[in-house]
Amino acid sequence: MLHTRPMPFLKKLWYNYALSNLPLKPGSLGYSRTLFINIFSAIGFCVELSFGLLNLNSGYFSAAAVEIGAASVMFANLMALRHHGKINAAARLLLVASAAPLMTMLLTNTPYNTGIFWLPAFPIAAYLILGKRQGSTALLILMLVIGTMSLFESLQLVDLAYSYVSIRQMIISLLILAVLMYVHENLREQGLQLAEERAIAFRAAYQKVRQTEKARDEFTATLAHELRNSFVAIQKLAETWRSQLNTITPKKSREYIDLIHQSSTDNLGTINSLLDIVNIEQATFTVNKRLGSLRDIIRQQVGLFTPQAEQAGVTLDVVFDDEIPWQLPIDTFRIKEVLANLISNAIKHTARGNTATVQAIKAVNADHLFERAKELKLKWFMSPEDPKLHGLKDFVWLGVSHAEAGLHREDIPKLFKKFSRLQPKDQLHPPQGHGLGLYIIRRIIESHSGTYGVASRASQGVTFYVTLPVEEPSPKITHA
Amino acid sequence: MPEQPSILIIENDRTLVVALRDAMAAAGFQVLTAASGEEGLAAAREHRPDLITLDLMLGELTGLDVLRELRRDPEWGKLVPVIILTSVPYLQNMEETKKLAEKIMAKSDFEIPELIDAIRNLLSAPPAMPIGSTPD
Repeated sequence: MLHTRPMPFLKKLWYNYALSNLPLKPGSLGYSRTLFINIFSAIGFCVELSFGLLNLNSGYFSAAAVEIGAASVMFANLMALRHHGKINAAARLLLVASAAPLMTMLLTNTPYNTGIFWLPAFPIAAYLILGKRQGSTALLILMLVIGTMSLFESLQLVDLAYSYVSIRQMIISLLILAVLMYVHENLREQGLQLAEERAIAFRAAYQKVRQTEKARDEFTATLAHELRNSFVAIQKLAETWRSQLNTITPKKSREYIDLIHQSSTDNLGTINSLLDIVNIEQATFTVNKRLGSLRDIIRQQVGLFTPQAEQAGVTLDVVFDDEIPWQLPIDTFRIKEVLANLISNAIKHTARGNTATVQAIKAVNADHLFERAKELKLKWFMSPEDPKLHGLKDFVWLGVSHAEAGLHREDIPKLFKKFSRLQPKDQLHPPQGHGLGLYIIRRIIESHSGTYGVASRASQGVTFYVTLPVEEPSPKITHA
Repeated sequence: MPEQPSILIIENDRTLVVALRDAMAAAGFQVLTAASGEEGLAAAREHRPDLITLDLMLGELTGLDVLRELRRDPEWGKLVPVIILTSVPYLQNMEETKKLAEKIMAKSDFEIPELIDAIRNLLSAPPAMPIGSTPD
């Protein structure tokens, strides 16, 4: 089981100190830490350099090399910090320069452990050739070598009775090795933590993809079944009809034609919605906002749906606020689609003998919307606490309200999502509508910079609504 | 058995109901229809048809629920032949459904004459057959 731990202070310090490429703001915590380490490195650099020069002067070439090497490491840190982790050209140059005394010793054949000084040349070369990451590893190895060498040398110096030099050098060597161990441990843990965080992020992303895929697969399977069933039914009806062609009464023919027509229309609607989804998912989905009349759209759509409503025994009503401007910046074609979806859903879910009402109100804000609704004596199920209405300014609210008992509170968040539908608790419960319409509404309304939502009152009814800004909010006309 | 055997179709697709209803009526059956599990169960209890065709995907009360409820009836319901007409390639409770129903037919590939033959076969079988033992 993976888990995240808060990063300990020292680790954070190291992170800021050596690995972070982020520019630090003066006054921030990271900046103060970096400043502290900067000063520390600067002092270290001065001390090491002076000891190095001192040793060089005294003829302790190997000790001088160690000191100068350490000084250059300090300086490299300093430069790295100044540039927030990026070892710049100057630091690299210095690293090369630190190799120079070692080379000199080798070339002048100094009698003292000279062979070993070849080693630092490798990490320095690695730094220059491989870059920061491998270079850092190389730097660590270099420090390890220097530290170890220095320790050995200090032991040898004890033998030679240079006690002062030997003790000082021993302390420095141990310090270098201790720092090295700390850094190594930190890097390892940090690597682990990073891997852990990445694993968690990856797992979450993977889970999400899997969920979407699963939802899509189930959705596709159910939809395919529904379509097949419907076509089987049409086919069977045609067969029954054919088998009694000579005896059939006109009344029965009429019933058959109506059924075939209705089933075909439903299937066509499903397929059109599917194509819309495909369209919406691709870049070709555009919304072309021009000035259009909402009044005309409502009149037209209500007219179109009246026969269907009558057949279902549902009364289709309209409440239209006269304050709504004649022209709104909308894509007429898409808003028609939105309203058609809202109305057809309402008809499907309204019981025989009840009314579904298309409502449109102009308001300056959420409070005003409720005032206007009161003035217009609207029968709806909106709640003033609806967060989707907060912060809206100068908008048109468009909704369809109808009595419905079937909408469960826990289903509401699932609405307006792509591959979700209401209700199917298991395979044997048929879904109520295929839920594509609401997703299409959502996408269209989002492209209009509007909001969408649903409000319901238990066992009374529901209001599905959208809002549209009265004025174009940005100069952008087309949204992908 | 009356002269015209009665069939109850429990199915929520109106188009399919009409197709089956009229085809069965033409084949000489008396046909009752119901569009939901609740309605179907009520009709079954009231009219006691000679055979029931049952869809599994019905709504709140599934076809399997209806079937279980029917079989709980000690006399008539336990014995009435039931043909399951389904589209669900479902795995859930398949064994139970097989045990409780006389025959299972797939909506995706069945022919009406085939269904009518199956109904005739079941109706002409000895009436007191033990459930689940009818050879297809």
